[in-house]
Amino acid sequence: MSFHEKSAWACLVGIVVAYVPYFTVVLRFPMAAIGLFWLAAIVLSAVLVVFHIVNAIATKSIRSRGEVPPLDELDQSIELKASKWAGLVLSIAVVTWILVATYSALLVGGSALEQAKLAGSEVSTSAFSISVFSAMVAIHWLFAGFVIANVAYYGGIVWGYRRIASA
Amino acid sequence: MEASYGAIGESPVPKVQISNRIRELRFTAGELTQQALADRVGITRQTVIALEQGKYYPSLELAFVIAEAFGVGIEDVFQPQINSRPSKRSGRAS
Repeated sequence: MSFHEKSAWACLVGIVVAYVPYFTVVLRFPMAAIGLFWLAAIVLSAVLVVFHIVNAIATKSIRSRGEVPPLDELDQSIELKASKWAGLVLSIAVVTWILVATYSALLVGGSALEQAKLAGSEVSTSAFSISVFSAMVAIHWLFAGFVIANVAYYGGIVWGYRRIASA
Repeated sequence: MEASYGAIGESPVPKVQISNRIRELRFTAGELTQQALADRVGITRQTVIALEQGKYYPSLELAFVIAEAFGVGIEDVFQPQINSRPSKRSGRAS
């Protein structure tokens, strides 16, 4: 297994270990995000630092040369394909988020207009506001899309190397 | 060579399978290891393995550099087998 494949595995495992618990909590309790965000970032950093230290000690080529092996054309080709997948995943996530946000905004607005009509009063701009809770949920889903795109990127790299190794 | 390319998405480039003699040339060049060849041409050992097993086709630049490393012509290292049937994929193995 090459250094770059191991590195992609570490990033993939790190993201899963750090962000699956993070999103499990914050999508249920959106206001708990600030502390957990930093905790997830620290967990991810710790996984990557430990991996790179262990890998640097264990990898012969790094020991002998004192540097990380550069990406060659096969590595670049695998990364390029993974980037395309990640870009596609991110695009789908963002477009889905925009559609859901737009639909939700229309629902909120329509509901406010309907209530004002029933009450026979003028529509106040405050009726169109959304709660901080809803806004945080929306932000968490957008961030989840970004994290999923990263999983697609590193998963794509791992898949590319495994495909070459097992073909 | 004549071929019809009707379907959308089909490449007009005929399918090419490329075999190589890298493994054989390594042994004739003083039992050169995969890592030594990789260092000489600036790629990783995993790429040398993939090339030898025919799982990856190199770029033209890399093919020339590998041939140069063995001191032979490119056609002495890589042997293309061109089929007239067009390929749906680009020049990558598998």
